[in-house]
Amino acid sequence: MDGLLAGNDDAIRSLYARFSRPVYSMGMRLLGSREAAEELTQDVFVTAWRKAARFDATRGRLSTWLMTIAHNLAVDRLRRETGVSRPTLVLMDDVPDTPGLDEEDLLLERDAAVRALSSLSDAERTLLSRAYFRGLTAREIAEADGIPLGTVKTRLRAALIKVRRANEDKERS
Amino acid sequence: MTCLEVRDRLVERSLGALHLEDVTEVDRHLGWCAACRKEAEELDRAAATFALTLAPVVPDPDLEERVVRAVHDVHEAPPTRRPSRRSRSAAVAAIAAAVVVSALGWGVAMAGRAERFSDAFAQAERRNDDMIHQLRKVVGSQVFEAAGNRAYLGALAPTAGRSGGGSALTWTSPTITDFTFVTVAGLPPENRDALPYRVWIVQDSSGLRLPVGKPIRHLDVDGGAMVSQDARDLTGFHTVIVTDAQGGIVLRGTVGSEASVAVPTP
Repeated sequence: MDGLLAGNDDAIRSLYARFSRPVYSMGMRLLGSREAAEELTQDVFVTAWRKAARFDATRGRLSTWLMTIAHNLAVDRLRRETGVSRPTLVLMDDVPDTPGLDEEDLLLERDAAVRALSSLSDAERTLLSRAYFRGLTAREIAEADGIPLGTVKTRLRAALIKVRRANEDKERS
Repeated sequence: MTCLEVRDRLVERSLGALHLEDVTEVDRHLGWCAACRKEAEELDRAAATFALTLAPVVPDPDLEERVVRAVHDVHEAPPTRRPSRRSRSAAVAAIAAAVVVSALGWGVAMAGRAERFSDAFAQAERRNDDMIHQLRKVVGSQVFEAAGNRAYLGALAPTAGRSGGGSALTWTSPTITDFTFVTVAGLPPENRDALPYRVWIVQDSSGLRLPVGKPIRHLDVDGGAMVSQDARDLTGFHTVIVTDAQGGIVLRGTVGSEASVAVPTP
């Protein structure tokens, strides 16, 4: 990050090499087109550069920080395009996979993330996905499923805390 | 918002499913509440796990060059400073000083003594001009000139059939939270039906409105008030509007680079 702060080309390229694929994949998943995903990727790295000094490695991983920026920008873009204050996400269920091209770090990170989510039941995973990838609020999920709002909030919270604990366990081990 | 209310919304915030108005309120709370901020960061970390599980898609090889070029194009000078609460405090102190100087400049002795509408209007105009003048000096000061920081200044003018004016200053920074500061003056204090006024900052490309501060429920004797707002990223938010209780736009202005600031005519 020091290199990024200094505007060092190598640092930008290094960051790009490590994180462009997950960021671009996020763009494909949420925005649904290569053009939009490319613009998102560009915006994420520009934003990362602008906000680099705010990143604190003692408070979180670089991958988390970048993917949070990517998610926020994707959601902001959808808000801009739909003109509403909540995103209506375009789902792209069949994102083309290109196996074998991942770098080792990314593979390990993805594998760890998949294992963290394996701590969830199918219902919990689906619930969190409806919020994260489709932008549904707890109220909308409650209305759609015909269950109390408080119940949805409790379940969302419990599921997300499970993921958090799984991440913590992984880091300890 | 209380800690309880904020925590009730943190999960939705981390999942990106919170209404924008709530995000703004929650983020304002997170700006000063370390306990809630810690909780939010942990939930953000958990939510980001979802993103990392996506099947990786390889972007076009040309994209890397475009990204590197974009980073260099956006800002000429790279940010070189570490996060500093002190720099934000210095900026706020500089703005506060400008407010005090402006208030002294346009004459406390005259405050509230305008008996006719034309007097009040002239007084509000002078107050706004002085505020812009003071803020222009602040924007040119060292604290706003640090690498990567951008300060934008503008004057607010009344829309057709309205009175009053104002000034707005927006600061974007790579090192600390962005913020905007808005003053209004010359709004008719006797018009109780217009209260509360609301101040918004608008993203030009999308029309997205972010509220600035809390609704203005009380005006001073000269129809003035001040509001400010921290925000995650105010890049591209250049239009400031003030609406009355009915939602009608009372004042409007655009913040731009320091040199381009001019007091608009109604």
